[in-house]
Amino acid sequence: MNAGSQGPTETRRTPLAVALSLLLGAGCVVTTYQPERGLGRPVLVDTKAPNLEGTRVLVRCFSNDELPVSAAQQGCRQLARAFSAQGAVVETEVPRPGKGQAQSFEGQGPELVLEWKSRRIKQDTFVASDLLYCLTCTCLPLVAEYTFAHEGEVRGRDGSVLLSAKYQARFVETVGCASGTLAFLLDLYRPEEEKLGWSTQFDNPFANETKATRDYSRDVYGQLSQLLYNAKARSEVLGLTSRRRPRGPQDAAAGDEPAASRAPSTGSAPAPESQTGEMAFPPPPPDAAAQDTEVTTTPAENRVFDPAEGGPPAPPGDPEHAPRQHY
Amino acid sequence: MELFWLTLLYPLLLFSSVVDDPVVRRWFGDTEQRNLECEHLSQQEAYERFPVAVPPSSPRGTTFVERDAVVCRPMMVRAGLRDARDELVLSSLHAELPAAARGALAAAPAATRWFVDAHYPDLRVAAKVQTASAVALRELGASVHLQAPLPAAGDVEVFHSLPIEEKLPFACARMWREGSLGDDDALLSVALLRERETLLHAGVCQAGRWRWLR
Repeated sequence: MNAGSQGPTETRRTPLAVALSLLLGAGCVVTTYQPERGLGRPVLVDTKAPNLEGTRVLVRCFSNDELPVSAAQQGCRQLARAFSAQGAVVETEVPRPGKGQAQSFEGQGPELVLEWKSRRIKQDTFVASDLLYCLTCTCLPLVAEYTFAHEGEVRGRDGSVLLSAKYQARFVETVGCASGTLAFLLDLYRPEEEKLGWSTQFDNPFANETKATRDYSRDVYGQLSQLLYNAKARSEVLGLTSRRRPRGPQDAAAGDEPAASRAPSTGSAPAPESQTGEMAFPPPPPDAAAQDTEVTTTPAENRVFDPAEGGPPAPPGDPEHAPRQHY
Repeated sequence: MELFWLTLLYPLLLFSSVVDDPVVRRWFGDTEQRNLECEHLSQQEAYERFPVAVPPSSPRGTTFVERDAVVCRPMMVRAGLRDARDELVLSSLHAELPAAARGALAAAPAATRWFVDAHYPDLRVAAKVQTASAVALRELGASVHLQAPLPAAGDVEVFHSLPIEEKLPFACARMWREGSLGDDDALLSVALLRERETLLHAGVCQAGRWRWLR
C-alpha cells in the first residue's frame, strides 16, 4: 500500500475524529471578564447585611430592542431578591408604553426608585478566527467579544435624581479544544477562587457558573447595593425619608453607625461574597436571558406600569469627561 | 506537521497584537486589571480624547468595518495601598464637589465670604477634602478662607457627644450666635455621615441656619 494513501479504516476514522473534535471543542468555552467604568471598584456595604432595612424600593428595568420584556423582568426579579436580602421592601416594574400606572406599595409610594438600563454596545466575532477554528478542527480558538453597558439611576421620593452611575462589562469568549485544554491545565495550579473554569454554551457568557459570571455577579450586585445605600443616606439627609435608627447591636453591625463613632478602617474592606445559589446570575445582558433559565418566585409581584407622564427631572450633568483633579 | 506549526505560531501572532489587553493577561493569572480603569469608547470618542493613538473614523462611515477602543489607565494609587473608602471618596471629589459648590453659591448672596471645613475620620483625607472644596468654590468665583472659624472650648465637648448629623446644625447656630460667623459669612461643610458610605455630604451654614445640599 502506498504510504500516501489511506485504507478504508483510516478513512472512516478521519471524519469521526473531526466530528469528535468539533463536538468537544464546541463545549469548551472559556470566558474572561473585565470590569470597566467603575464596575470593579471596591464595595463597602455587605450585600447580606440589612443595609436597607424597611426601605421601600421600586426597581424599574427598562427593556429595549435587544433586551426583551421577559429578560428585563427576570433582571428585575434578581435585583429584587438581592435588595430584599438587605432588608428592603421591593417592588418591580418593567415600564411599557401605553399601560396605565398603578399605585405601588399599597398607595404609600416608594422611598427610592432604581431605574436600571442594560444594553449590549459591542459584539465582535472575528472572521479569520472562525475560519481557522473550523479548518483546524477547533485547535485554534474561536474568539468572540461582548461589551455591555449598564446605567443605574436612583430617584428620591419627590422624583429628583439622587444618584446615577454607569458601568460597563466586557466578556471575551474563547472556544476550542486548545483553549479549553490550556485553561484546564492552568487551573490545576490556581487556587479555587482564581480558576477560570469553562462553560458549555457559546454566545452566552452566563450559561454556566464560572469565575467570569461569579465576578460579574459580585460586581453588579455590589455596586448597585452601594449605590442604593448612598442614595438612601442622601435621601435621609435631605429629609425625603426618615432615618431608621439601628435597633440593636446586630443592626449596628450592618454598618449604619455614624462614621465618627467608630474607628477608621485601616485596610481595604473585603469584597462581598459572590452571589451563588438563587442569586447566582446577575441581571442578564441582552440576548443572554433569552436562553432557557429557571424562573423562581420573588417576594414582590411583577407588575407592569407605563412611564410617568411628562419628562423626568433632568439628570445631573455628566462629569465623567471633565478634567480630573487628583488628591 | 503544518498544523502543528500553525497551532503553535497562531497564538503567538494573536497575543503579540493584543498583549496589552488586560483580558489576555488574565489568562495567565495576571490580576493587574483591578489596578486599571478601563472603559469602552467609540472610535470617534477615542479619537477626540487620544488623537495620537487612535485614527479618526472614516468619512465613509462604518459599512464594512466597525472600530472601537478600550481605554485603560492605571489607577493613581494601586489597589490596596490606600483604604478602600478613602480611595472611593477621593476619587469622587472631582464629580461631587463642583455640584456642591454650585449649590452652596446658589444658597447665599453673591458677596458672601466663604469658609470651608471637612469632617472625615482620617485627618489627612479631611485636609484634602477641605482643600478640594475650597478650590471648587474659588473656581466659581467665590471668596474663600481656608481657616474655618473655631467653636468655643466649651462647645467642643458638647459637639463630641452629638452624632455628626446633629452636630453640624448645632455648631452652625452656636457659631453665628457667638459671632464667629457674621451675617455676610457662610460655611460650607463636607462630611462623611455613615461608615459604609462612599460619597460625602455637603451643607451650608448661613446666618445661623443650616441647610443640607446633598
